[in-house]
Amino acid sequence: MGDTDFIRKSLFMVGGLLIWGAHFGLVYIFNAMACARHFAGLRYLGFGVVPLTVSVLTLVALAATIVVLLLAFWRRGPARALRDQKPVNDFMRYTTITVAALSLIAVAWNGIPALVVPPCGYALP
Amino acid sequence: MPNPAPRPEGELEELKRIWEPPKGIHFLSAVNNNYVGVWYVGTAFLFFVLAGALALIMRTQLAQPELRLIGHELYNQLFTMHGTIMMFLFAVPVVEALSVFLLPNMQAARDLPFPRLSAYAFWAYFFGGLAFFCSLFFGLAPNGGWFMYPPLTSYIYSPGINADFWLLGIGFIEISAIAGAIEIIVGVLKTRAPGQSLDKLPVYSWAMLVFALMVIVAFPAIIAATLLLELERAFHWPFFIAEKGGDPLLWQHLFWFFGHPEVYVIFLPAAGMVSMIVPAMAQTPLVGYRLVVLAVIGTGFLSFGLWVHHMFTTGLPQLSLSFFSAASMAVSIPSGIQVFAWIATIASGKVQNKTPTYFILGFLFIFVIGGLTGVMVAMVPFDWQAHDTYFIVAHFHYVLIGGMVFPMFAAFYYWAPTASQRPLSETLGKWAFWLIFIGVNVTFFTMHITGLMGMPRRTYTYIAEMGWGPFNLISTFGAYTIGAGVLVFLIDLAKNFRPYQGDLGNLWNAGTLEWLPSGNYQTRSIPVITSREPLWDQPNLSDDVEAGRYYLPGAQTGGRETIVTSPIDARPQYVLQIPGPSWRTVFAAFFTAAFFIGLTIKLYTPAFVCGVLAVVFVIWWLWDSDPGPAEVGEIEIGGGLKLPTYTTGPMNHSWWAMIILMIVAGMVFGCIVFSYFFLWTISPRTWPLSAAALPAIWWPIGAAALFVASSLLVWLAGRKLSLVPERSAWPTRIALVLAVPLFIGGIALEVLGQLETGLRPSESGYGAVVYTLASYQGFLVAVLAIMGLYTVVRSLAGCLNRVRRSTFDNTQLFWHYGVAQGLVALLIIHAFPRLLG
Repeated sequence: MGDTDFIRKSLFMVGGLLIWGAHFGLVYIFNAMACARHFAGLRYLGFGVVPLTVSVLTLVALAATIVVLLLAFWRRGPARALRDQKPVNDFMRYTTITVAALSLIAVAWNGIPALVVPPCGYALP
Repeated sequence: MPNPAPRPEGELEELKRIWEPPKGIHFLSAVNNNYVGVWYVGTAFLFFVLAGALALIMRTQLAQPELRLIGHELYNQLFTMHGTIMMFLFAVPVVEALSVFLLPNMQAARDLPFPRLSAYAFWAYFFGGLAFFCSLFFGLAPNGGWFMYPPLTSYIYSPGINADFWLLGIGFIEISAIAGAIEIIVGVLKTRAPGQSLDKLPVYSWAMLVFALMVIVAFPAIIAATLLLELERAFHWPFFIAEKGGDPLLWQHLFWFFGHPEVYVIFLPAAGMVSMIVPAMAQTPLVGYRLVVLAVIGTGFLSFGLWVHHMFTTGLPQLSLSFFSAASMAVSIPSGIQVFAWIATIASGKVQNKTPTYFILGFLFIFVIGGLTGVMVAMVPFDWQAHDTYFIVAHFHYVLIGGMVFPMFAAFYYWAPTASQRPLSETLGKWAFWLIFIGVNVTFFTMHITGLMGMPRRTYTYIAEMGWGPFNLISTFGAYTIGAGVLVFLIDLAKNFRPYQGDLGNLWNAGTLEWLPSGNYQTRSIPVITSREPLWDQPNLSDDVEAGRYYLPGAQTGGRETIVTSPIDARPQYVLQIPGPSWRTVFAAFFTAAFFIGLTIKLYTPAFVCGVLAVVFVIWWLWDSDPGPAEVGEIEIGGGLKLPTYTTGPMNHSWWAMIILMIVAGMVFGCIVFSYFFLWTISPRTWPLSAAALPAIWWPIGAAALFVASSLLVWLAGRKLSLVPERSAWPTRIALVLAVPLFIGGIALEVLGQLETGLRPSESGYGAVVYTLASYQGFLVAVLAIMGLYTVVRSLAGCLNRVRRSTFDNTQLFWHYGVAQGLVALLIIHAFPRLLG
């Protein structure tokens, strides 16, 4: 019983970085496809499709990471399992929060280039 | 706990007898981590010295412009072998080897959970690595650079077997690394001292856990890559040939998806060691333990977002490059956290003037410089100037030598008292340190300048007019200084290192469990711990452990034992019966290496025979690995606590190993799937344009049905097994035996369907990747067929019933995985093109 519990608790503990990984993979694949299949020039709502999509994905990832952070902070959701005031629970809660904080920085850092750098190159849109 | 009652007569002698290593030549069949660890570290250090010698030859050739000491052919082999041996045969093995030795000791476990697996991994590495090195003496060493880019390394431009040595040799050595990683994950999570909950886990254990998880996610990519390139070379399946719908960049993506995490795989264990040595040297607990754990976890994840920074000059889209540039900068945050934690710890303590301290300070200085140039080259436009120049050579030698070699020397001087009957010499240690430290800076700092002056990598000479001569001469002088330092260390080793059982006590007054009094049985009893530095905080711990006042002071099953604990709280769960010495693992490793080498030198029949023998020895070794509950049943380990001696299901250590193996298999599969979609993105013209070009839908439906049917039979076999021995074992046996041909039939249908359309793997990238998916599935089917039939034989031998069922459970887990993988492969191959058309 302690062992299957472990998988859930530890996945939640690194949840922030799992979200970072998903965000990273999605934005990279999207930009790669946009350039390989030549649809980077499309525009929606006045924005290029790539900066728009990357920005939306970034905001979603940031929001999800904040949810993880708050759930850990308030000991809600998956963090309910950490309610017992034991040193190891406090440690896992602390680590969940700091992992999420690091992820917020990393996700933002990864998303910002889409606002500044052209998707494919100077010659292509 | 601690139990004050005196221990019975003869209990300690019995413990010693059980853990005694075999005598004479049979000593080589030992599997105990204390012996295998020393051999493993020693072999890795041997490769360090050999690869270093190759570097000295190169540096001599480069000392002056237009020297002709060695020609370009040999030079190409030298730089390829220097890089390959350092990265694959030294850097990763040495950190794994140190953990084989240290990890159980640091967690007060008597051994690793699968000692014969780590012995196998060591011997396979020993035989395979030495054979690989010997290719140099036949002029057959790989010569395409340590990262072996096609098209240069494919069959057109590298027709000899040099590249095959690399592909088959290194591919198989990575299997060794993965086996070690499985062991480390289970070891860190399941075999700890009771009470050593996650918040009290040594930073080194955290680092090794993240290391091992990174290995199982990243290393399958190099296995997939080497598989693809070897298929291209041997059978002309065009994965990397652009004219036929392949792409050389596919290799680069696969290689660097492995290659970048690989360098953090090398660094993290070293950082973990530093986090253990610094508090001991400073005589104060590590500052910022929780943040250091965050940093280790953060590095593990973020390092997977860096790989394209090795490909900045390949013409990939700008924004794509920027994502990797951003992540390459972000990864410096966790490294910085650790560096500040170490500096703060040194500042808050009273650091001792001892050799380990010197190597730690040297590490900090050199690694930080390397990290700074790393952030420089993370800037895409700067990298466009520096790529493939000596600036990069300078950068990575600073981070690798600073980040891993210096901590390794610190670790040698620090932990030698636990492995040797004499400590190493302080005088010689300091001489070695200064020579190596000065040498490294003279050699590699100069290369920043040489690189910025434009000197390219991997060239065997240069003309005087470039002005690089004086700087190269300085670098060569520095390289010989490093050599002198390593020689001093070797002298120290020869004079003072006397393995195996160190009995020198807690020389450094350190706080962690590897410094408890121990014999070849590790500690006399397994303590309950309540602190991160138990030897500092728990009074009388050493005496109580030595007197047998904690858990398992004797060996009630009559064999080797350790306690398996829960992963978060480290509560005792059951007693693991650990296997003892075995020649089978040595022979299995020898024949595995011989199989791969035989394939490389194209001696196919001997290779096949060796392959069969390897499988035979592995099965023979496995035969003892599922002992069932011990005859004594449950045992009282101390303090009134009774534990079973066997368990099945998710708590079992081999269940965990199977889950991890499934992740490895899945990652290899994922890399082949990535290759499928990548080639489709690059070369859609070679994809089937309509359903007419695909096999008729009945082929995959039939294959899927057979796969699922085989899974159902295995599930049914499991249901029937829970009635054995009260009911007959025959339903289980028959179900398993029938499942095997169904599974084989499924993959046969898939291959036949493809053949029927006329598709051939050598005609296009599409063909190649479809047949690779089928071949990989076929490989898994073959492995599972053997596992299934082996399980039936276990049953016939009376070794399988509803209690003693680990063998069946492991087979079942992997079987369902294999079927799921097959269904996904069918979906991709048959549904994806239909969705497009």
